[in-house]
Amino acid sequence: MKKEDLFEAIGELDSNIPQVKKSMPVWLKVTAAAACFAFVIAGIRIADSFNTAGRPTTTATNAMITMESKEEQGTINEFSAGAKEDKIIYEGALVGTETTQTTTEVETSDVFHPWPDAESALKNNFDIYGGCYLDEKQELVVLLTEDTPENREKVCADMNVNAELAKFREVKYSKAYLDAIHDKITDVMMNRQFETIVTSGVMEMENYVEVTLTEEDKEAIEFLNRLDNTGAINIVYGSVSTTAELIAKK
Amino acid sequence: MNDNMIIDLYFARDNSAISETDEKYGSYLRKIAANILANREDEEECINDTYLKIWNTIPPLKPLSLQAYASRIIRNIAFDKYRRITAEKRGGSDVPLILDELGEIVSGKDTPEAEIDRKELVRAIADFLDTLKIEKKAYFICRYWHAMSMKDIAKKYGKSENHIAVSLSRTRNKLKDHLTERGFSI
Repeated sequence: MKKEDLFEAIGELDSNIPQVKKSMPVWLKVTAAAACFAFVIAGIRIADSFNTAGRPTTTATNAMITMESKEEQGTINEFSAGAKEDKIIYEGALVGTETTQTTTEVETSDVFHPWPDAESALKNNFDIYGGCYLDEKQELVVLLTEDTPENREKVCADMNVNAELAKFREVKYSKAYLDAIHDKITDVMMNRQFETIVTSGVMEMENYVEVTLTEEDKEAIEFLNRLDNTGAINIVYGSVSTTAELIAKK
Repeated sequence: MNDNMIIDLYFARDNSAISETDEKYGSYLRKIAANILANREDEEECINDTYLKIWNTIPPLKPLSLQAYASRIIRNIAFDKYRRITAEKRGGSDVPLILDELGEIVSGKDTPEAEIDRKELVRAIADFLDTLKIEKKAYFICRYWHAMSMKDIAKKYGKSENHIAVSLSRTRNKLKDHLTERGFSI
């Protein structure tokens, strides 16, 4: 038989191409896995830094394990934290069909901050509150658009932290302003208006919104400049894609 | 407009049947011709010949699927044209490569027609394809029915060209074994 005859015979088959679920490319799988891993690590580190300042990490972890093991039996009711000299006693309690209580003592730094209530600070001081973070010494740094004693007291009171134990830094942009920019960028990402914009995040320490573009995209840059052209948006270029692609391929 | 309505237009000898066919399946048919011929003028000629053949055969024929019927016609016309073009040494499609690949399955020698019943052969190939995993079947149809390039198939399924080439090579070997086992003197 000649190859042409076989080609013609194949032509008599059904021409319909079976529907195959398009698999995610390997590079995308690796990127997605790396991104997930990075998020987990970042989450652990953030939780760790807050816990070092306000709550004992090891205790929190133990308490979480206890709660997870009792998840089907009860719900998380309350947390309480307190200071006792240089030791902190942390209690995790569950209610439901069964109640357990764990108490663990751990070493912490000399400076103790209760868990900062950043949400209240933002809500009540949207024009002056610029965010907060823990510095390399694990000390709380509060950002203010106007660093005055009154503002320090007011914001710290809302954050439920001792102003005397916190550090302050004056910044250009309020957290509310950066959040508003971030929200607008997130909207266009979700609407896939600009496929080149792949990440957006409020960087409190740097006091700007960092936006990742996969390539130089004039329209996207114009859009970002329309949102802010005073320095509140920091554009970086990277090959890590994929918010849009992950949504598209879901 | 659905297939039955278009076929009714052919039966009524209404010229709009052709424009309706072109509107619905024109781009699909052009793609098939383009894969085989890779020459725009030849593609358009194929399209016109296809519509003429459909016009001349419906009625009396009443195909169940106008798409399948038209696509088979254009594939045959395009391949006939490809053979003429090859004789004239022009054209730049993937068909020479595809034929070489299919040449791995067959001997290339003339076989008395009586030895190979075309319908039996087609049925045997169809049975073989039904044994394949769906993605391997899809690669096979894309490559050997639609004459798509490896690059296009790889892009369509988000795989590397090498992956597609290796998969098709294995499928060809299996097809050869399948046909040989069933007594085809290929």
